[in-house]
Amino acid sequence: MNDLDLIAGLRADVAEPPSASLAAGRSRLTAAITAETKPATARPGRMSLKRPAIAICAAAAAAATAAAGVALTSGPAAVQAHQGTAGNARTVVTAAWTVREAGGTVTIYLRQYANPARLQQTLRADGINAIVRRVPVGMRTVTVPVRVPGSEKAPLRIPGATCRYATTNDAPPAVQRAAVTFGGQDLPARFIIHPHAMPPGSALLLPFLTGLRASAASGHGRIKPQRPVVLNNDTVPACVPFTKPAPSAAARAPTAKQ
Amino acid sequence: MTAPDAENDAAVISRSLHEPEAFALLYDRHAAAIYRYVTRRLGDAHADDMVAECFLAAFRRRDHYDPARVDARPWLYGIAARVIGKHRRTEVRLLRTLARTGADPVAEDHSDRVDSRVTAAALQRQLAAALAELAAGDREVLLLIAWANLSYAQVAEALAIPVGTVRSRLSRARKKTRAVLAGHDPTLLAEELCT
Repeated sequence: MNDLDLIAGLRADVAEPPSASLAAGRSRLTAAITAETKPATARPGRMSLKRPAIAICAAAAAAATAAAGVALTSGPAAVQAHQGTAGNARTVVTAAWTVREAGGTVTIYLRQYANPARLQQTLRADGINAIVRRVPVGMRTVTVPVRVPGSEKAPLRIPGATCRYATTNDAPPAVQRAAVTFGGQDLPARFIIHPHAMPPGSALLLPFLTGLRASAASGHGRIKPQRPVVLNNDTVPACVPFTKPAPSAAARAPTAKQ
Repeated sequence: MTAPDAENDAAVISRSLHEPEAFALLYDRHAAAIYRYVTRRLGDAHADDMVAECFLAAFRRRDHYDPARVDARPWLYGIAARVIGKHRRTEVRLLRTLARTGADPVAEDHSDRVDSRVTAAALQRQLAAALAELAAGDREVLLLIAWANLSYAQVAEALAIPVGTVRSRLSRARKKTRAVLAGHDPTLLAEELCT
């Protein structure tokens, strides 16, 4: 008997798995398989899985979005709305991570971005090869028009993205247009993702900002999703830092005031 | 048409690409072994969930399975290893408990059985201590060979590492284990138990 035999003997007496556990596990697996492939079985003859469209509530106007969100998700999903901290702003809280509509739409709420790993997992469970990425946020100097009579453009320091994902791995524009659309009758400001328009092997990059001021985001955990991008594959392009404003531009501002 | 039971694992996985429910056959074949391996590593408290997670992950990745690999066991053990890896602290804690107290929170107490495989309690404690102190990668290789009975090549496949790395990790793990066991003569011990 050598050392390997001794190790092999360690815990060799663990109980055999109970048949009830194995049977329950099999049931769980088959239920999960059925749930994941249900769209395909609903359309006999189709080899590819028909995946649901995704509506992402991404309204900058929190009140309008929240109200519409309630309307959209009332029914099968348990939804509760409560008064937010900012006046009439309302926050929609869903009981589940995803809410499956009768039409096969999956609604993703802003608050779900607060847990990007979970959101990504949820979307992948729904057959969407999603990559959810937080865009670094920092104070940026931007020049914006100041709406004060007599004032000119002035540099401001505001929180915002410090980089932008390169477009090196983007799918062609036609794919982008087909896979991501905007608007809707029930929910004015949202993204709608059409996974069936995504080529095989492609991925959906869902960048978002967080930690913004309430005025810059929507009140939902101060999260602001950016437009989803269809990538050719799973390779996430580099987030290229914004270059600092040219000294000449900064120098022009005080000159303009003179 | 081939009868389902006559299909090898690769054929079952291929079939499950267009007949998803066929994947359950893979569960029928290997779930018990995976369950047992997970239980040996982490106890049975979470074995149900971990085995379910393992097979669901396998189902979702089945389109990446290499159909040239007839036996799916290394693939499944590799997925199980990743699931177990998320609970590394728990595993080390359980091993240290055994090392410290002599009572194994994982295995049933069969100390009254005379079995050539079952070593004395003191030796078990030392083994557990040795396993707890191994690097995670070394422990993974050692236990896939000792507990899952995989070959070097299968371990390499399971962990997606070269066979040479399997050998070096195993060698390192065994060297450390032997050092811990230096005070014992395993051969003598086995003879004592069998008499």
